[in-house]
Amino acid sequence: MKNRLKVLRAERDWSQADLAQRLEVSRQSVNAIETGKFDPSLPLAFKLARLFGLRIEEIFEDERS
Amino acid sequence: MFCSIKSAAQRRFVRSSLLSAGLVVVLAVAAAAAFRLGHLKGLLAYPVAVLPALPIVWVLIETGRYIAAEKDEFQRNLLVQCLLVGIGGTLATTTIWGYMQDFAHAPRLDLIWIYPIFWLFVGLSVPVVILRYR
Amino acid sequence: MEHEANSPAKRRFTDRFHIRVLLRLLALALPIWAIPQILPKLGTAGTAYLIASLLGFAGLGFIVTHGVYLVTAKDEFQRTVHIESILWSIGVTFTVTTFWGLLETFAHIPHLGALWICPMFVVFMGLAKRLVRLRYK
Repeated sequence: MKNRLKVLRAERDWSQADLAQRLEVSRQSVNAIETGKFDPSLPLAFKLARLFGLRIEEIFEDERS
Repeated sequence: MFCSIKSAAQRRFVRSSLLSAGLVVVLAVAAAAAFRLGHLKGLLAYPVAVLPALPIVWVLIETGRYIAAEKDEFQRNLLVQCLLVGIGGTLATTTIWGYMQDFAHAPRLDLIWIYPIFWLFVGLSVPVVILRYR
Repeated sequence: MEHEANSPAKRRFTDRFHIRVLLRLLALALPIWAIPQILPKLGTAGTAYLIASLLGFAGLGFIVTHGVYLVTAKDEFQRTVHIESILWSIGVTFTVTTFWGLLETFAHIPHLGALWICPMFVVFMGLAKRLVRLRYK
């Protein structure tokens, strides 16, 4: 699923490792989500949304809409 | 697959499994006849011996395709859980039996039974996995 | 000497530690008591089976560890990669065992002991993991 994670990360000057640490996942997980190759579960998506202070739809692009 | 056949992916999977099961029986009987009655020897023995393996490999490939094609992620999750329990049970059986073979001279476990043992454990795990979500 | 505050978490940890110690003592004491009672009744064949199956159960540690990891892993991506590698390994392992089994039965090639199945599975799983990770790069 396409998303704005890379942009949001860059705005806060966070590396993938920084984001991974905040989410309590591995750097590979962050990379896989960012490149759209792996979709996070709902709890992880909500965690991301909370971390960035945004709604899930503002981070992830619903391909159908 | 756990209640009734709902999707095209499931239909295809069940169809290939049934067809393959039939083929295994036919080819196994043919191979057995070739060896026991025809006394097949030499280089031809090897390809004839492994003929029944081909539909079995086909089912394995179809299982993988079904897992990839199933759009219902919950159904996919259920199947994967059953397969994981299946492999856990199979490896446990082969490990324990292996030690009993080596140390207690238990009867030999022919490799050909490993695959059916796997599906037996998968089958046994289905009600257990489904019950988790009731 | 300063003492740490006796927090509820610390008390919980200490209680659990004591329980674990007790369980370990039981696990040691029980066989020491039980074996002389049960063994003479088994006979040599029975004893051999018992000891062999105990070794087998010890060998199950690998399977149990993996099971625990799959259930408790917090990183869902790593768990997905792990599960995919297991699934690929299932396919390859059973292909090998089916081919070898048929050749064993019909073409009388040397028998592969059951103990080799688990290591074979682990090797294929390791190889699959590398390939699966590449897919997500």
